[in-house]
Amino acid sequence: MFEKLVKWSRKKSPWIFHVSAGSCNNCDIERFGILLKGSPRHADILVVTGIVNRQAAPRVRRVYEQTPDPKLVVALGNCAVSGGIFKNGYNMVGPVDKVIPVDVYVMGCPPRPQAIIDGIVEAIKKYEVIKV
Amino acid sequence: MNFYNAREKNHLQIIEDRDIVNWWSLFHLLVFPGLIFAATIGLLLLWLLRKLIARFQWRVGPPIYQCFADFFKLLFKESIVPADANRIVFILASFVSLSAATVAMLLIPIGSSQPFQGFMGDIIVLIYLLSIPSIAIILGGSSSSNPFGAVGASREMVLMIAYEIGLILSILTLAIDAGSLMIGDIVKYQVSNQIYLIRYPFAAVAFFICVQAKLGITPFDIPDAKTELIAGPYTEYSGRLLALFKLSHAILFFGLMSMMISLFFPGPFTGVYIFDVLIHLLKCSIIVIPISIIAAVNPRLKINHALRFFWIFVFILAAVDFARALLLVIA
Repeated sequence: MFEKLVKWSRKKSPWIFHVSAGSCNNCDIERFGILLKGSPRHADILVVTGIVNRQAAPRVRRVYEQTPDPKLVVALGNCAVSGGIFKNGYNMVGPVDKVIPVDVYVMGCPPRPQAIIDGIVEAIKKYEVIKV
Repeated sequence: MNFYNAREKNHLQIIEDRDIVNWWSLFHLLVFPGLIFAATIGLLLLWLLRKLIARFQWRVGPPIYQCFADFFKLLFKESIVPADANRIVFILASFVSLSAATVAMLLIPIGSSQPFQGFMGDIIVLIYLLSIPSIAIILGGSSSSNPFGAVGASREMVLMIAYEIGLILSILTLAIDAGSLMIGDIVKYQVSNQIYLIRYPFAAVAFFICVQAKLGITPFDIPDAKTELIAGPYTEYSGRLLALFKLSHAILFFGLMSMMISLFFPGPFTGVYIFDVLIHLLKCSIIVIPISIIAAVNPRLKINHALRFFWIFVFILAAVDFARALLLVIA
């Protein structure tokens, strides 16, 4: 019962922090309880976009450490997943999974809003497995 | 002499009450108008606000359980206290905020003309209790060792200086007119005479605007401006401590709505308490509608503009009715 409540509330209230390692903003999805928060301290899911360049890498790691547990990471877009057109660039440290652990990969350049929401939903499913 | 006797008697009464443990007051604090009831209704009203704003913007909006899901999720998350923060103040601020808001609920009448723990001069205590959550936010923000928290706290402080005058002046107007500092007497006076919304419309408008500033709803969400200050004083708060702040915000939301109803348009009392409470809740949700329209239509004010707005416009509104109340009493 207690465990169910925790899992339910986690699934129904995914707050996002957008770690912009070099890219644009996303759309409104409050309908599903998804809120874009300003502070990583409030976030449940980190949505990382961009290739994670040399400037961004230590900051991405820091933001990941600042987020309270349980936390999930979604790598959003071709750049975040594989480096995209910047692959093997001299300034690239990433892709994201080289810097922090990633739970869900969403491809696309840019990914469609539906794909972004689908990525979040895939990430939420992990709350079933994470122990309370 | 008479007055002295009354005080003496009152004093004896208090001592007698202290001897038997008053379980009802504990029930009032924790269940009925206090923690659980006020938090549930407050979270529902906050959902209504979010939903209405979403509908005004042609969005679908969150489902009805949204605020509860947010709260429970935060409750079962890790709470991080920053290494540089003043640990004691940082943690205590959230508890102080919640307890002050909960105790304030005991002094606000809900669906009746009498609060659960009314006493002589309770409206002054209420004014102080309602300002404690804002002070707790200032303490929390400035103890969090975060520059955004510090700026948010200073903005909260300026905003507090701005709205507190209008708030207190409009309450005093009613206290002078009713000739009592008990919130119960103010309600009773309106039931037997005329509601103050009609007699003092300017004070009502001033109070309404000040309540929005106190709750930090959109034109006045200056301290926790998301796009400028991350989350203002709440920036470093996470998990349980943030959940406590959310809860105290919900209770304060319901408390201030209830106060607005009691002070300006206490409803027709049917005599059956449950119906009275239902009418009260209906009125609460009706007040949320203009608040959500204002929040959906207006952009956030700059802090200096907000200060000017309150000290000129709201102050004049409140002062006009204050002067009228004084003249009525003298005449």
